Amino acid sequence: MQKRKKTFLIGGMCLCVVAMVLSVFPGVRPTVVAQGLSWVVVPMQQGTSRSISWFQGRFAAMTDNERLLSENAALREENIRLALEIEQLHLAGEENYYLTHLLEMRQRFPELLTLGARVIAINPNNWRSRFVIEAGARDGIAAHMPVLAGDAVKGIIRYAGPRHAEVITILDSEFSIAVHSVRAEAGGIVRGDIQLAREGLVRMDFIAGTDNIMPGDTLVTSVYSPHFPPGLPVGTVVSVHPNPDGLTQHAIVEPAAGTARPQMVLVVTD
Amino acid sequence: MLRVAVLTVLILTNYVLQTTLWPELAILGVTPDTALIFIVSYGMLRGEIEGGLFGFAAGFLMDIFGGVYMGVYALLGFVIGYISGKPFKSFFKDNYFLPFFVVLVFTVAYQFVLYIVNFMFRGQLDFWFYVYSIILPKTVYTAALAIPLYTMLHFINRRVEDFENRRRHLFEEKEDD
Repeated sequence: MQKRKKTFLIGGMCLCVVAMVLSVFPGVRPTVVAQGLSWVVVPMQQGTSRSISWFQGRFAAMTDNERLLSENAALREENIRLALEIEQLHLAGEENYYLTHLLEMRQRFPELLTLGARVIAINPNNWRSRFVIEAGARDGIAAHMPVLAGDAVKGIIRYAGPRHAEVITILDSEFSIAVHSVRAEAGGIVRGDIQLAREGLVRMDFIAGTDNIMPGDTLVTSVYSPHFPPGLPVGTVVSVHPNPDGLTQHAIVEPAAGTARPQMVLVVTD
Repeated sequence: MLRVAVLTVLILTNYVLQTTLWPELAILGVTPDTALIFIVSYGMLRGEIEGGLFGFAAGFLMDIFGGVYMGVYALLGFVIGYISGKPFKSFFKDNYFLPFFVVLVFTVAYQFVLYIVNFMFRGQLDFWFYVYSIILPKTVYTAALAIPLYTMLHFINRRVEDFENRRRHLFEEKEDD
């Protein structure tokens, strides 16, 4: 029995280690398993996400009702009815706001082929800044496609399942992008840094010591960025610091897309 | 069969809640690791083999939908489930404080390994920053949920065991006839 358990332990660990080694090679992923599971997990995530939004709306409406009830007991029933109606209108208005916003985003980049998608889940791991959108390979989404929020770069598609896709945000330490300052005519690499991410900031590296990057400079995607069309806003320089080597400097950058989790994003599918 | 179905539903539901509901209930930007609580609790209730398999399945799901390297979470879940079941299976199952302390210890170890895999190997060495901002709050939050979730899993496990026992007796009676 003890020998069987030992074999089980060693066998299980070996299986995991082999999976880790295989995953180092690009393109090796259990796609069939992931696709099969996404048929179950993604609808569950969509349903739970919508239920949470509904409960949050109800909770807000109930709090509001309590205030009204204490002010005027006679209007209690009327208030409840009105609050529910307001909540319904609020939900419709919220949806309208996001759809209008999405339309504006599309109009801002008419030359790009884009697809709007709702955010349905957040990566549960606090070491990462990622979220899941409810559009996948079936909608034309593929890995490395740029993701925009507002009119700026929000992240990039890391993995596209059949009905969902995972987005790495600009704050994630795995994210990096080549940027260019139009005013200073200088470039560098913007990447996520977990310490700065806590303050909603990112880091720009590989700035030559002679480059005149200054606080307030607007950074846009560079022509050297392999996955992003040039000219998309990335962020604004907050501060510039010389590196100890004396030859280069780095900058702290505030992302133009903000740090809040968006409800809708635009994926550039072109 | 019932056990497999119940555990599958538990793992999937937990993953969905971890990606949707828990972020809304985050404290100091940190969410509880309920998967780890279930892995440790199940190992303590059912022993090392079932604990290891449960941990592997829960970890594998996280690998598929969000892991950097396939197999990291599966390996961690497998080892934690196996170790939880090894020495603690003989303990009194209604002692709810033991799971609390075991979850506390494993959460620290688990987060520490994640720090090594995700950050230390990539040259980001500000260890105490990660301890104060992620590992410590996550451990407190996770440990706080350990007793209620262990109680829930203990209840489910007892029901499934009752069902399995009834079924076993049913077949034994048939054989006697």
